[in-house]
Amino acid sequence: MSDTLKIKEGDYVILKKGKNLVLAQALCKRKVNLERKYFVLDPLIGDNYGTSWEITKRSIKKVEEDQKSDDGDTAESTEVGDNRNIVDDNTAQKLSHDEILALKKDGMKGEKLIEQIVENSATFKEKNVYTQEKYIKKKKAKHLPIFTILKPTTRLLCSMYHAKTSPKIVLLRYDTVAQILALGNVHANMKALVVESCTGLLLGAIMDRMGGLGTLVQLFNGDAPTRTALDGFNFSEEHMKVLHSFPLNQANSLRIKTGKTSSEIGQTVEPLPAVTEEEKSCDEEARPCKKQKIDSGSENDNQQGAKTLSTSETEGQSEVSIEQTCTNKDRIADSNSDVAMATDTKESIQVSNNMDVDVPIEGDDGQLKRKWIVYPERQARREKKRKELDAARCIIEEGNFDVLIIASRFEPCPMVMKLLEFLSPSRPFVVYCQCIEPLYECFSKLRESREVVNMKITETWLREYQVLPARTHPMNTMSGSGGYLLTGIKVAKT
Amino acid sequence: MSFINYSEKIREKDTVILYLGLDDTLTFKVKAGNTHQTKYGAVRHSDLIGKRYGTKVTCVGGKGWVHVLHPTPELWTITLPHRTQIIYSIDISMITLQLDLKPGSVVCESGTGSGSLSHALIRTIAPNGHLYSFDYHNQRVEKARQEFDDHGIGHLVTVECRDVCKDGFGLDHIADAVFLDLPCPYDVIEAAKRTLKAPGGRMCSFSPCIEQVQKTCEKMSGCGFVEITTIECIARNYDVKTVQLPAPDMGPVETETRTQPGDRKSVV
Repeated sequence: MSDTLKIKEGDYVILKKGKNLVLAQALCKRKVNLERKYFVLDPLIGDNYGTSWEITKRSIKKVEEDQKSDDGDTAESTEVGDNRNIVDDNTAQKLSHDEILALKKDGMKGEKLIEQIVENSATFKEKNVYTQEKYIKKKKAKHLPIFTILKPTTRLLCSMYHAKTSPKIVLLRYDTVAQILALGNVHANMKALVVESCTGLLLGAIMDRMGGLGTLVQLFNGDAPTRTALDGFNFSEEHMKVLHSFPLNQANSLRIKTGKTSSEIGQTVEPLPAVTEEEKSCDEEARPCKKQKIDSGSENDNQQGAKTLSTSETEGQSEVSIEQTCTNKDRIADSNSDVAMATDTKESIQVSNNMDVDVPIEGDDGQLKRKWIVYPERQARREKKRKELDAARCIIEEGNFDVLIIASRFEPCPMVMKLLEFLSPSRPFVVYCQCIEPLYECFSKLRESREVVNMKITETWLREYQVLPARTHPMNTMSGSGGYLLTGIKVAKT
Repeated sequence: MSFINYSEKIREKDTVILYLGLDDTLTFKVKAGNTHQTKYGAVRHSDLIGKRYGTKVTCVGGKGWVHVLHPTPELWTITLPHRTQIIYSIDISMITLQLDLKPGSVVCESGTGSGSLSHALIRTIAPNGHLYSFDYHNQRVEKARQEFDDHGIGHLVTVECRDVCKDGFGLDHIADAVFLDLPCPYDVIEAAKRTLKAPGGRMCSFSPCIEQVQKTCEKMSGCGFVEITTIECIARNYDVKTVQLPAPDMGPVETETRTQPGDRKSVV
């Protein structure tokens, strides 16, 4: 498996400098930013994970194994220096900031530069040996632009997101992620139902543990799921096939197909009904912003559109629908006065495939009508999306899920009460919430339902330690809360 | 039934978990004709066969009922018969995350102990990973092997009776991760390093005492391990109860303002 240790182009990688973790994509000639230094990652590609690199001007250079300076945690105290005569008034260091920069420009770097800084410190010799080590470590971190390149894993990504943007992942701390994965018994070949507001981080963690085997359905809020964190996991296309999406705003319409197990229901998706006009109008309602834009046009336009709709269906032409792109504001503003277009429709109009076109055509009565034409690519995409939606609906309504995991910014109670029916008996559910109060409500309602056992609300307390000879102690700061978990096991209704 | 794949119905020879109450569970292997006594009455194994996991079973004798649950490593951890001190789910979950384990991983562990962590590791690395587990106690090794076979996961684990402190692991450069739960883990660091695929493997040592931790970290650093972190993780449980706090009796509320001598009295 040594090829998995090599960095490939397009991989997401983690740059680690001290405690700082930064996620970047290794693309040729693409600059990345690490602590306000900009450089390309080209030299990395093809090399191994775990190597160290030095930032030079706009690029990077590999630091060879033998050149690596040690962490410097090996001091053993033989004498005890102390700070009784040290006054902290910024006069200790003789080299000014500009002088150090000048030294760097001249090409002095690495150990030599640090040596210079240490030599020019008036108080260095008085310090105790541990303090000296700490001082050198600090100077190295500041003046030596060296980072290590790491392969992203669930552990690293969770730590990174929690340290940097924890509100975006509903304050989910990495030990809580670990708990969710264990208490949910997440493993390969399982069927999981997930609602999360972590930009895909928890999804990625679950998919990683499923190893590309099984099924994972995500109920997402809004028009499309936010899954930026998923990129960091570098999942292959094959691996991504386990993931299905379904909109949360249609969750209440889901009905479990009672009495059937997944073995009794066929594995194939049921054939889709033909796209009906009714569904099309449902389509419109699902896009309120677009509907407004339609309303800003004249009433007549809508009615015309509808007429054209039914006409084209009976004629068997390529389908049209009342659809506008929200981005093309100019065109919408001009729609009422649009007469400048040629009557010969498709060829003469220079538009991208994404845009639908408002084209005046001559109707039977000689009057100019308005007709929306949709290009086949767009239509194909919409069809595909509809098929995926129906497939996801099928998978959910089959039930037999092995775990229900909720880690959402929304109130958990309604989601738990609705989605529990899709979980098989004797299967766990895990509900995460950044605050504990909503879980009390869940707990009470679930207890009343008599459908769950072994319910617990837990919080994990996480403490990191610095372990060094004669300098072992817990870290000075500790995370106050990693959120709360409500877990339990669903049983057959009594 | 197996610990790595859920099944729907209870069958003969399945290991099941009987749920009696919060943190009150017991386990046995289903055999037609046998009966298990619980505080709520007797449970006949034959009554269970063919039933769906998660069903409520009324006990013979009418004192109550229990639920029959499908075993999972987490349920197993709180139910299993202890042969040694075990590792609990809170630490198991952190170990699994920190070792970067997933389906296909190859893991070495020592000692096997009662198999609490082993079951969780096997669950995570299935279906195509492997666990090499070592313990120097012969009987524990035998018992563990038996349990893994009963639980349908014997093919994913190799248990060997071996003192890794003296004799090492006997495996070179095959593991993605090594886990140590030993009194003297610092004696095994070099051997553990040889077991790991080079470079990039993860190692974890679990120790109750800070002195062991210090020695182990020093040894790891000396052997060239990097990114050494030490973590402590504790779970707090919350109990949910609806409580009515009665109002305190502090006497009647006065409607007149108190006056000093000489003030005019105002009447509300």
